[in-house]
Parts: sequence; structure tokens; C-alpha cells
Amino acid sequence: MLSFQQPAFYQSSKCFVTHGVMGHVDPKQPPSKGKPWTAFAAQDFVYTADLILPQEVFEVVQDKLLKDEAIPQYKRVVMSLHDVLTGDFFNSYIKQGSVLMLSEGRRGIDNVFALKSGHLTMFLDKEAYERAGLVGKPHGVKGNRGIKPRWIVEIDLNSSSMIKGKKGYDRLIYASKNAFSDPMTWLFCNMTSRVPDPDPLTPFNPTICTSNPSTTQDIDALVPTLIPPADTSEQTARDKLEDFSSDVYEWLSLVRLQSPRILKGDSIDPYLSIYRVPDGSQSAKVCKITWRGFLSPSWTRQTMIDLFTTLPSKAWFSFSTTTFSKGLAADNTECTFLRPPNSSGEYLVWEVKSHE
Amino acid sequence: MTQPMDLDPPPLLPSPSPLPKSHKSTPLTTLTLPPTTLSYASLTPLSPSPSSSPPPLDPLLLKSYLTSALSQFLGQTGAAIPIDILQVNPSPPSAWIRLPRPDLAAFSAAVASFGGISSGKEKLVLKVEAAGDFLGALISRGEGERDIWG
Repeated sequence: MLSFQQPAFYQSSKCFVTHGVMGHVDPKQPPSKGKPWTAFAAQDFVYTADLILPQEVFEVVQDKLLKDEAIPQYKRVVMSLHDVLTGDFFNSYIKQGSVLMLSEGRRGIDNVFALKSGHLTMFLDKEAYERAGLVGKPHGVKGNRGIKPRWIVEIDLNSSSMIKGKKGYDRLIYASKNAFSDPMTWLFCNMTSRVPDPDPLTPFNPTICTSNPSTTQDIDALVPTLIPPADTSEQTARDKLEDFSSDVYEWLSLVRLQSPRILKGDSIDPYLSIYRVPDGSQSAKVCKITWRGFLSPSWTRQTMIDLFTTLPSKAWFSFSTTTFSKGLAADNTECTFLRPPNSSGEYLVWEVKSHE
Repeated sequence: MTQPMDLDPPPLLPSPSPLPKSHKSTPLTTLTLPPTTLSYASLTPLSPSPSSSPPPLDPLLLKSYLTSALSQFLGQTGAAIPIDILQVNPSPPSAWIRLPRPDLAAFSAAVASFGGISSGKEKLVLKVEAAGDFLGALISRGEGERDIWG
């Protein structure tokens, strides 16, 4: 109709839907294979996690997930890359422990460093890459790199060649002293419960932050039928599943947004909005719990396992996690999980991924 | 003399099997959602100077702002773009809307080039904070992520 190019900041993302059946979740043998678990594990650094539940089961969850010990903590600290890669910090946290760290900056614009379980990834611009003298690969959409390409350097700090005296490690230290000597703000999350004593982080005066969950209860919402359609004919089943998953995803997102459009008494004039909840919606009370901060995929996995073990199996719930924004268009990956009511292991997963 | 052809009987259509019970999760269907018909955008006010405070945002004000912006940029066709107001927060001011996907480009251009509306001393200028096809992925963008860095 109006022939406009899509604006530069808007890149289209894709949503992959999986409808499947899960086996029984055993808390003593945490599952890691199979669809909902691999989708959550594939996210690198989680910024927001939302949980939507029927109000009736809120007390059950409150005891387990909202008590003080279960609240995730992370730290904010100012260090240079050299500090991260040397000394007690390197030995106790990176070589022996398992930590997540992310430096401040926007990937694609600034130089960003990400550390996940000993795997260091550097997103660098051309000058920094050349000054560092490390081996990397080009970063960015092919054909769009222009005169100033960006580079990614990936180093596995867990490998046995990454100790003092070995060439690879020395080269990295040289780069950190010459090219990346400025201190940066990092977010730090210890994925294990073991804290080395004395804590190598203390000299850097970290700020301890907690991701206190915020709860919104007694939302008088119109809840659509959350049971995926089952049809024997293959083609219509696929079309119905497409429509069902788009509508339910939109509804879940509006609940997370706390939009008044899904409330029972919403009577907004059609001039302002023509959104309607999907057909067959019933009035019910739901509640929403949100965690924001620097969360790890292992925390999301543990929370999912706790949800499966504490909630009654007939109750429905939805859990979504969103990562930090990356790239020029500030895209992020999002993973939403839904367990329909009265299902025996059935689930639905939406994974929204940007093109990068 | 032709012999009747020895054809295999047509295969029976598989009957829907009961859901398998196992410890592994079995995906029944995987699909990629087709390009959506609707897109979402989030708008926040720009504060031109620290002392002035923009007028409080409500759905009618937002709708009249967007109609002015679109009609200034694209005339009647622009003003006719169907926009659904999903949520308006008076403080901190922000708004979420839904509109047809092909019009998202025109919409962002219109909002970006609009000078704002002023009522007396207060001036309201909105900018597009986030835009995309899937609402869930957009929700956490913006102010919150900048705050986490301190």
C-alpha cells in the first residue's frame, strides 16, 4: 500500500513453535535433553523472567520460589579485562568455578565481553581487533560489513593451554594490557553456590544486587482455552495450531505487559482499540511474578524444575525468559513455555529469535 | 492377453497413536510462525528539558497525538491506519500499541518526524522505543536495561 522500506532499526524476528509431550520431571535427575530444556539452556544471559499462574496455586509457589534463599543475586563490579584474566579471580572463579559475566555495552556498536562457564567471547570493532592481535572471525551479516568490519574472538579459558607461561594465554594477557586496559562495568553471577574464601571479588568493591520478584495478584482476566487443538487431519491441525499459538502468545504477552485489554470489565471504545481475547475465554483470576536482573540459564532451569514439582499437575502455567538486548537493533531472544491445564505432559514452547 | 496388474493394496492411513509416555520429551509438531499480520511498538516521551514535565498520557491523548502525527506525514491514508492501544502508563509514561505490519515503517517515520503537541507550556514528544513482530520479546526492552548497569 504505502511503499516504504522497513526502517533500519526494525529487523524481523522469527518465532519457532514446538508442541510436544514431556516425560516425568525427576528433581533428582534434572533433565537437560529435549525441547523445553534445550531452548532455555540456549539463552546466554537472561534479563527478565515472567511467570503467569492461576491465582489458586499462588500460595503453593510462594513458599518455594519467593522465599529469601531462592531469590537470585548478582553483582555489579568495575574491573578491567586484565583483572578478570589474572590472579586469584582467574584461578578461583574461572578455572575452578562456573561464572557468568557480561560487560557493559551494545554488541555491534561498543566492544563487549561475555564470559559463560569459562568461554570468553569478545565482540570487537576493527581498531580494537587489530590492536589486540588475536585470531577471530568476522561478525555481522555478510555483505553488510562495509569498510569497518566487526570481529568476534572466542577463547576457551578452560583449556589446559590457558595458564601462565603458555603462548596463547600470554598473548591474551598482552592484548588485555594493550588494547583493553580501561576498566569496564561488569555484571557477575556465580552459578555455583560455592564462594571461594577469601573472595577475590572483594578488592573490587562489588555492588550486590538482588532480583527481587515483583508479584501482581488477582488479575481479573479473561483466560482463553489454553488447550492446543487436536485434529486428526494434518493440514487443518497445523493451521489451527498456528492460529492457536499466535493468539495465545499474544494473550500471554498482554498479561505480562499488564495490559487492561485482557481484563474482565474492559470496555474500551473500538475507536481506541479493537483487540479482543480469543473466543471461548472464561473469566478467572491470574497472577504474575517477574524477576529482573542478571539471571543465569541454570537458574531458569532450576525454577522450571521447581515449578513442575510443586504445582499440581492439573494447573496450567506459563514461564518466559528474555535475554539482554544485543546488536544494533537491540534484539533479544525470548523463550516462552506453556503447560496447558489438565494435560499429561503436553507443552508448548515459543522461541523468538532475531536474525543474528 | 493382458493380465490384471498386481497392485499393492493402498496403505492404511495411520490412526492417531496415543501420546507416548517416556522420560524423554517428544516433539509432536514444530512449526515456524508465518510472517505476522500485526506488529507492536512501544512509545515513550522524550523530555526536552528537565524542568518541563509532559502532560500525563492517557489513551485519548495518545490517539489524538498519533492521528496528528500520521495525518501530518501521510494525510488521510496515514490517519486511517488502524492502531490498537494496548496499554498506557501515566507514570513512568509509556504506551504500547498494535498496528498492521506493513504500516510499521510508515508509522515509525511519522512519529520520528512529528514535532510533538503542546498544550500551554507543556510539550509532548513521543519516540518509538521498541518495535517488532512479537510482543513478548519487546516487553523488557528500554529503560530497565539501562538501569541495571548503574
